[in-house]
Amino acid sequence: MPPEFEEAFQKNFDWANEYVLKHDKGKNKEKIVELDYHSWEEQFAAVQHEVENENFKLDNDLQLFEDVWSKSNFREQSDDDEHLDPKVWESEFGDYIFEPNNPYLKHANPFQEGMRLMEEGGSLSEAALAFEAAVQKDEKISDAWMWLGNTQAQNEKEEAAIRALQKAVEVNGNNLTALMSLAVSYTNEGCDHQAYLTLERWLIAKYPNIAISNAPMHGVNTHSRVTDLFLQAARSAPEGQGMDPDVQVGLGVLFYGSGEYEKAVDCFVTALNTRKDDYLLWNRLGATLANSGRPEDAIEAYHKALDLKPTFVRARYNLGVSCLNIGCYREAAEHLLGALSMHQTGLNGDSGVNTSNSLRETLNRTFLMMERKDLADKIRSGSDVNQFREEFEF
Amino acid sequence: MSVKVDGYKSSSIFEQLKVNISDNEAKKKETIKKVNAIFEFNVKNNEGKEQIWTMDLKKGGTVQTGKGSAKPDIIINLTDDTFVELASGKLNGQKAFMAGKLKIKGNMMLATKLDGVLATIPKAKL
Repeated sequence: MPPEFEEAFQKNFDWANEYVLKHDKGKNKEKIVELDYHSWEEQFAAVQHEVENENFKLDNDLQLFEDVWSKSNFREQSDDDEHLDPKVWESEFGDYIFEPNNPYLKHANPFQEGMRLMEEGGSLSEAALAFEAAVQKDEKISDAWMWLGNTQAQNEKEEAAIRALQKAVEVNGNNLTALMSLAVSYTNEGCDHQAYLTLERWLIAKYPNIAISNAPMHGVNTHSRVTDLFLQAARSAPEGQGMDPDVQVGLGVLFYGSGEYEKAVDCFVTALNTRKDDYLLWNRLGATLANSGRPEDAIEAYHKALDLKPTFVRARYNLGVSCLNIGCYREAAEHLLGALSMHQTGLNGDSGVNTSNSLRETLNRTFLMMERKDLADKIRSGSDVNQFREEFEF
Repeated sequence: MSVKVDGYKSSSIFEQLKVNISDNEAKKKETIKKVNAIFEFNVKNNEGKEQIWTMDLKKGGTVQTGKGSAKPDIIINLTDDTFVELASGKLNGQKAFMAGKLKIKGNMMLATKLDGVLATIPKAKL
């Protein structure tokens, strides 16, 4: 393990204790108020008028801001809030949309075929087709939905992934892998609160004793509550024997969610310690590094993921994004085109009904950065990716 | 003209914003209509150096280094790292302000409009 990982690994233990001490002191100076974006703007506008009339100099003054804030109707998120009823937000993603003319529908055992494709590191799009056939044959198999969801997430098709994972969890509320994957997908889509609740479901399913031993807390927001549960789970099985890497992953996602990137990195590194070949984890580490302004380290992590699984579309997409962000436009284009080319399947050779807007959109931006409007127009119009092979290597 | 400045991670984001905004005339007009503000960013990097970028989404629809010719509607002081976090979508204007990561002068509400503008920057996926 590289020295810097060792270091981060060691740090992991200290902060876990540190966090507990800080938390237990009850010093809740940092009130984490989760807000609804739109209502904030409206309410602020209403107060703004008042503020302007009083000739306030809005100048770095946190206290002033808090006064203005408290004049509006903000509530700390509580779980009694029906607005946060799972049934409400789950339905916002809708039902899974299947590929028509799926050749795997004729297959005797599409689920097995899908697993084989995954194990052999084959095309994710092909595997997804196989799993789609599997769930269409029998929609009561939670794991089939889970594999479909995981495959689509790795294939950088987040919406499809969420729809499939929600079904997996609907069929079996204790499907741990599906719950964890779903939490990650929600996080990627900015549905933080849903992510935290999903993580809580995971924790309750795997560590029922910890969940039971916690009296329901009032006035503590969801993120704090769930983080606390995970920390207890982490403490219940110390480093070395019996450390549950999934608890570390859950903690990593929680810290990522609250922008505590260093802690998130530590968690993923700890999990990687016992799962060196987990390409999903390497990608998660990479994305955390990337979103906290460490693109070079992120690139290293993505390469590890791709060495382990060259068909990992999402990691290739992420690699493209990081290259774009450090100004390596040509490289970015090649990675993104490579990722897009992996969407092609034996089925008509195009990317199907579940497309990845993120890939095409990011390519569009990359070509604009290269000052190649011609290429940008081409990718936006839905051109076949092979048309770019003359100019780019992928 | 490039707005890249060595030593700042935010640099490439400003470069992207500049390109994104000027992509096509129709989109530029739409953005100016929606946002209608001039942002001045005072970015401090890890070496303690400071750089100003001005994003005019009111008149010209441009991004430039240094102060603009017109008076900004909002001046935001922040670190290089914070700007990157804002662009990655993990931190939004409100959270950043509440956490004391943004020092604002001028029309505070414009910080919320910033989120919409930065949403155009591609983000890494877990």
